[in-house]
Order: sequence, then structure tokens, then C-alpha cells
Amino acid sequence: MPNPYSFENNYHSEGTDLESIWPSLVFSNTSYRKPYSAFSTYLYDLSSDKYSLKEIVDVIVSEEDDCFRAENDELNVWSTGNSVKEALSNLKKEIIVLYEELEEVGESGLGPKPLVWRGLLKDLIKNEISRT
Amino acid sequence: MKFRELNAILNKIATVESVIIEQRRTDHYRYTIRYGGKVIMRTKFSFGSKEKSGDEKNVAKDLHFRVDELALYARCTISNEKYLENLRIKNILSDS
Repeated sequence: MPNPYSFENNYHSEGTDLESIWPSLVFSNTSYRKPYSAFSTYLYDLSSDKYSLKEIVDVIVSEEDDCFRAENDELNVWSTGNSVKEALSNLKKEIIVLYEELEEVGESGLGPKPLVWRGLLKDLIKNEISRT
Repeated sequence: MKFRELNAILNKIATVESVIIEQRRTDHYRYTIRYGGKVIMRTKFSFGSKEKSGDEKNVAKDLHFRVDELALYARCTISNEKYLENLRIKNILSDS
């Protein structure tokens, strides 16, 4: 009997919903049980007309309390959602909020860590509006 | 994590000299913590359908506590002096 959570069964289909491959990403070929663990994925865009990503962003997604949590440690941003998709979508919004907040405050108003976040975000984000 | 628990922690942080906490209400309650005029930390509180234990972990991380230290700080077991010392060690406070 084929393993419904096997990596091969899910990975190659284009546009696969992350939630459908979630079990295989964590417990491929080891268990049929729904895992309560974490996996890493990426953000390829910010789903925004104003901002785009110059590079992909590493994200860790975890599940606890029937809630999905997406976070990026370097930028110190996190979000939650009722699905992986929602948590990732909310994380994109968080990255934009952080970028706009730090830009609004400006370099001189930032302490050591926010300065690092600003530097990282400046390398990551392209403002599509200001360049057109 | 309950909203009043976060409030208790933020209210205590606000008693530190040179600290200002700005609150904004958007889709979440968002807090920006300034020390000596400079932004040093930020956190948020989401009004979800239920309280999520994971939020406590993230709020602790945002504020540079361990999870178990949040309640200790709110209960005054950890003093502001100790908290500031930890922030200095972690290079969270600017020197200027």
C-alpha cells in the first residue's frame, strides 16, 4: 500500500499546497501520524505591489495548539495563522511592517539590533514604487 | 499568553529610566520600545480566537527573556537592574 505521506507522492506536483506535503516534509517514510514539529521553507515574494524580494527569505514553520507559526530568526519577525498558507501570508505582512517602521524611524533612531534588521531588509527588499 | 500578562511586563519595562513604549493598534497591538530615544525592541499581541502558548515564546524572544523569565519579571523576582544588565550583555542597548 502506498504511503499517502511519501515525499514522492507530493513533492513533484506544481503548485502543491504546503499543508498537503507537510507530513512528508517532516516524517517522510517514517510515520503516518500527523507530526507536531517544524520544517523550513522560503518566501519568494512579499505578495505586494509596492515591495518585492531581491532574495528568498528562510522561514521556519511550526505547529502548536492547532495554530501554525512562521518565523524568521534573523529579522526577528513571526506570525501565526490557521493554516501554513495564512501564517506565511501574515509573515510577509510582518516583514513589510518592520521594513516600513524602520524606514520611518531612520538609522539614527535605531538601536543595535534594529540597525542590523534594517541592513538586512535593505539588502532583501526592493521598493517597486520609488524606482518607477 | 493573556493580554494583561503582557501589559504587566510592558508596564514594568516602562518604569526603567529612559524607556518609552509606543503602542499602535493595527491588526495587532504593536509595541515599540525605545531606550535613550532609540528603538531597541518591538513586540506585538494578537487577538486571536484563543490564547496561544507559542505567543509567549515569541514575546519572550522579542523582549529578550527566556519564557520562564517572563512571569518572574512580572512578579518582580527579576529586577529592572538585572533585566538591563542582560540587555547590555546581549548588546541590545545602544551605548550613546
